[in-house]
Amino acid sequence: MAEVKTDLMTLNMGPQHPSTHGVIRFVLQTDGEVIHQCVPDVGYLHRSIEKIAENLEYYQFMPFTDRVDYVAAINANLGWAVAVERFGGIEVPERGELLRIISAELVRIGSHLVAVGANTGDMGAVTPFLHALREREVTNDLIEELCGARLTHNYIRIGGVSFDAPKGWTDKCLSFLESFEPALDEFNRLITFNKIFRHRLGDVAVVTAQDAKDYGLVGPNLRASGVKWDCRKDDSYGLYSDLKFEVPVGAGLMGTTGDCWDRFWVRIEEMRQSMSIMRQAIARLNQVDGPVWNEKRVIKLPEGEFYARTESARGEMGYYIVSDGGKKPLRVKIRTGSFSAMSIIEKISRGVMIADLVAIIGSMDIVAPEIDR
Amino acid sequence: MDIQGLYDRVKKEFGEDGIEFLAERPQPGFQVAREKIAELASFLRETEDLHFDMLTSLAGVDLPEGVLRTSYHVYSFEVALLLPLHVDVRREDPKTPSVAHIWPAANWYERESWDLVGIVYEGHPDLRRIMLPDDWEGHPLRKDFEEKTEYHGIPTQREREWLSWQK
Repeated sequence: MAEVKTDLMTLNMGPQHPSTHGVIRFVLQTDGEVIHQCVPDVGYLHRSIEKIAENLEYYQFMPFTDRVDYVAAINANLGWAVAVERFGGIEVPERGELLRIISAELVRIGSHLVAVGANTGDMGAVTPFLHALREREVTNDLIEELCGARLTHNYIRIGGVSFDAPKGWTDKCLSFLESFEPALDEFNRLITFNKIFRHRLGDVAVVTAQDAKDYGLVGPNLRASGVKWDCRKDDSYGLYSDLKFEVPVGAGLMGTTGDCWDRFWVRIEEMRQSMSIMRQAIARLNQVDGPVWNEKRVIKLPEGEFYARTESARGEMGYYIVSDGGKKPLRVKIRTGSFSAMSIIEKISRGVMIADLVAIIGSMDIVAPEIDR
Repeated sequence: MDIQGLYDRVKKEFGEDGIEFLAERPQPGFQVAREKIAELASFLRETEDLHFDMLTSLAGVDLPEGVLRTSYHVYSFEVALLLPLHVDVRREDPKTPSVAHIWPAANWYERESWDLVGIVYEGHPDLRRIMLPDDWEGHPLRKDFEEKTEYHGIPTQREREWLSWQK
């Protein structure tokens, strides 16, 4: 038989593709179904938020942080507030701190639900996606009751939060947690331990602990590779050091540590931890009275530079502020988890199937505006 | 080990020149001359008990008086220390060595810093624009950047009179 001459084919995936989770483009060199090289092309959602920050006063920038990460906007708010407060030495009242923790964990549950739900949806299982979004809808309703917005919350203020919780809100949160616990178990029975799903994600695109550190992976993606590190514990901020919670790490239950299934599983486990954190914070909130916001009309930061990080739903959310002592920052750099998660895709997608690339993107929980800012 | 102890070790290794300890700043860090940064980076990463293997953030900054700064934030899981490093270059000669071969995360960060601030990282494997289109002119995060009135026939300026209160 004469030898068949084969050539690599260039395949364009995105920017308008349902499973790239936003406007991201991948240029694939494929050999049949196997990816030879995958070059991510980002920047389609670049809005120059960092340039906008240079023209605004510190408190005016808060609504823009929502747009950095619209799936977990309160976490992005919190990062900015914590950075400015730690730089400028601004105190936050205890009730404000507790409301921050409760709302941030509620949003983290919602964001992780989108992440795991969309991951299952990408794998072809639509029912669990709807189950996840049903629960997420409740978190959105609760947040709407708290601050009036469902997605771009703009709830956190420098020095506290904008509103106290309405009457009976914490009870609604507790009853949501009550109903969410069995719903999560049901979700696990439905899809997490489903044989097809396990085989689809297990052993795919393994990220070793050293690779994860080298490429700056953070948050659940880092912990899935077996690195026990969480900003809330190891570089603590707010009142997180007073609360008790575990840091779940990937252990290779369905294959190798750091595979796609581990990244999925770490998020499921983190939702349980967030529930426990919320319960503790609500119990403490009910015993604390007082203001929620230590309001300052003019915020001036000292001359110099400061980097502060918080744990967002997609990992370390770092704000680097350079100030010249005025009311506006000289430069703001936002470090997000999705950016570094994107940069490792070229390395780990070598030699996988095209359909597995969808699993990788889904399991990394990439949110496009967070990459591009 | 705290940051002062780390500086003493670095001083023993590299001497006084080129690496300065900024103890008075809100967040103490090292000011590094560009000739030393690659050497210092591989020392921090390779030394057995330091192991600064995570480049957490890299930011290009346009400072007044023609200084372009690259700020690195490196983290070591072993000593649990976040170390800021600053490398200043002049606007006329915005070149500094790349550290992408030491910390792979720097690959994309340096591309971003080149794209938005215009610092050239020498020895970078693939220094292309990352956020903006390849044919974009200028570096928007520089303070003197002026937006062109149109891009490929698409106007970039809308009616901006109502924004004049900002000026």
